[in-house]
Amino acid sequence: MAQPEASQTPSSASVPSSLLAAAAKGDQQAFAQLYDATSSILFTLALRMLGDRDEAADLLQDVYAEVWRKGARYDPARGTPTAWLITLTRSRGIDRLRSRAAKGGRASVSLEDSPAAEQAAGDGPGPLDQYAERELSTAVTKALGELPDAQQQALELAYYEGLSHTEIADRLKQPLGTIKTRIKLGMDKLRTTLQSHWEPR
Amino acid sequence: MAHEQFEESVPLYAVGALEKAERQVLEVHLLSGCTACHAALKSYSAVAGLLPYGLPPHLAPVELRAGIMEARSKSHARSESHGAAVKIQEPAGSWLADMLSPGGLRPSWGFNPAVSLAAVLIAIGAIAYSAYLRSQMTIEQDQILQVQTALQEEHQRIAAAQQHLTAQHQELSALRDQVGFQTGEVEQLKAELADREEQVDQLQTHVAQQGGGNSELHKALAQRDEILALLRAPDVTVVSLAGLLDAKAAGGFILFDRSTQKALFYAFNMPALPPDKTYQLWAILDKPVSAGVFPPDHGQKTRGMVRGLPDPAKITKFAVSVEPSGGRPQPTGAIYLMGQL
Repeated sequence: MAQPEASQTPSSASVPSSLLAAAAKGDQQAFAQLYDATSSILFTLALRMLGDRDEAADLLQDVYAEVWRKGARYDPARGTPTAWLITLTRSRGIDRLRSRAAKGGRASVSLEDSPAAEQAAGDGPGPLDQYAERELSTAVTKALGELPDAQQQALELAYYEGLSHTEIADRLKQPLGTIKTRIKLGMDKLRTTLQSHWEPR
Repeated sequence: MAHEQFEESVPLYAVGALEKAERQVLEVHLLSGCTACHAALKSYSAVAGLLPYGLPPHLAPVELRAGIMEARSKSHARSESHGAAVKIQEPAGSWLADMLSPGGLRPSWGFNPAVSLAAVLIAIGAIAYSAYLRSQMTIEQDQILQVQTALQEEHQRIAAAQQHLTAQHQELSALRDQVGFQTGEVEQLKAELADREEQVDQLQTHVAQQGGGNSELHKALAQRDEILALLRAPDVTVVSLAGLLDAKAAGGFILFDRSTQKALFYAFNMPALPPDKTYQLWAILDKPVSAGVFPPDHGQKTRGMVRGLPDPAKITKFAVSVEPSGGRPQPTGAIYLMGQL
């Protein structure tokens, strides 16, 4: 199989730091490539957190606006560009969940009634990059599936719904120590199982 | 807080599950430069960043790309048009209009179309050059502004870093003060006990002279002897107890002699307790074992002698929790003090 050209859109699993740097400096083409590589994983995350396609799209508008305003602050020593964007999206998503909860809206969401995925415009990642992303997705899904349901549930409530261990214990009517242990054991197991995917190469 | 506790809270921090106060305590520890916790945080954060890949994928709506790219272009155009607006303030060539207008400055020589044309051409050249110079100046001014903004941001970052450092210095000096205070307490206790030793000798003589069997006095004397013996024991271990979240100002220590399985427990600045509660000391081996209950006296201090500590070689930590009066077989209440051997 031919190697992808340097200008080809990477997948979210392989965004180089230089692409984020160029996008932050005002390079339109780099910005478009960054969007094509990362919008799907960020939209998936935003939709899981907010449960509403319009609100998730609105959140992505904010996130990409921050990329061109603050992208220069990205520090490669602290993780990959995609990890930075995921952290940014999660953090802005939690802000929205909190303001929604403060207004008395629903705090948790269900995706069962969300419409089917749409085809994105623009050039998608090349086949090798798509393969890398699919492989990562399969590995994470498998690793999460191997965790006991209770550990998975505690991790999801913390990560996607922004609940603290005390809030999770209250919601699940379980002792605080039990919740802490579930999160710790779950993260330990994932760290071991997914080592080849998170360890810097 | 012991290092192990910080390390245990790192995975919770990475998925955002810590309470605000716990998060801040861990951040202070990370700022103190603990390399083990930094490495752990990096790996757990990377793992947390993979979690969304376990979700069923959804593509972003088609119109979102166009919307974001358009917003990007508008924002870019706005930042570029700023320079143009400055140029318009004084329309280019206005000085030339004055010069050529009937009421304006007239050439001193008579009207000559060729000379006028040449003058107009030279003037247009001058306008173009002036406009070019002005655009160059605008670009340079923009660059200077950018550098100034970057410098200001850098200054702010340095100021924030300095604030962090100052906060750390304050924390360190507070810790030093606490250690100094504890050492002072030990010294004071030793001096007090040395004074009492003399009194004890006198009392013993007195008791012997009295020949009486005053059991209360004997008991008090025996206690003093026991504390003195512990203080004199060659292998006595001092375990410092630090106040945890609900009792940050509290502190204490344990003088612990493995050979006799005895310990002297002393704590200060303990929060006042309701009448139906007491403090309970725990020796932690592979699980917590009660080392007795100690109700606080006036001044929120508590102290006492512990005898027959189980398996002293295996004790790794001591902890103090709040329990219902009479104590409990296992800790059930908040942990106020913790110290590691």
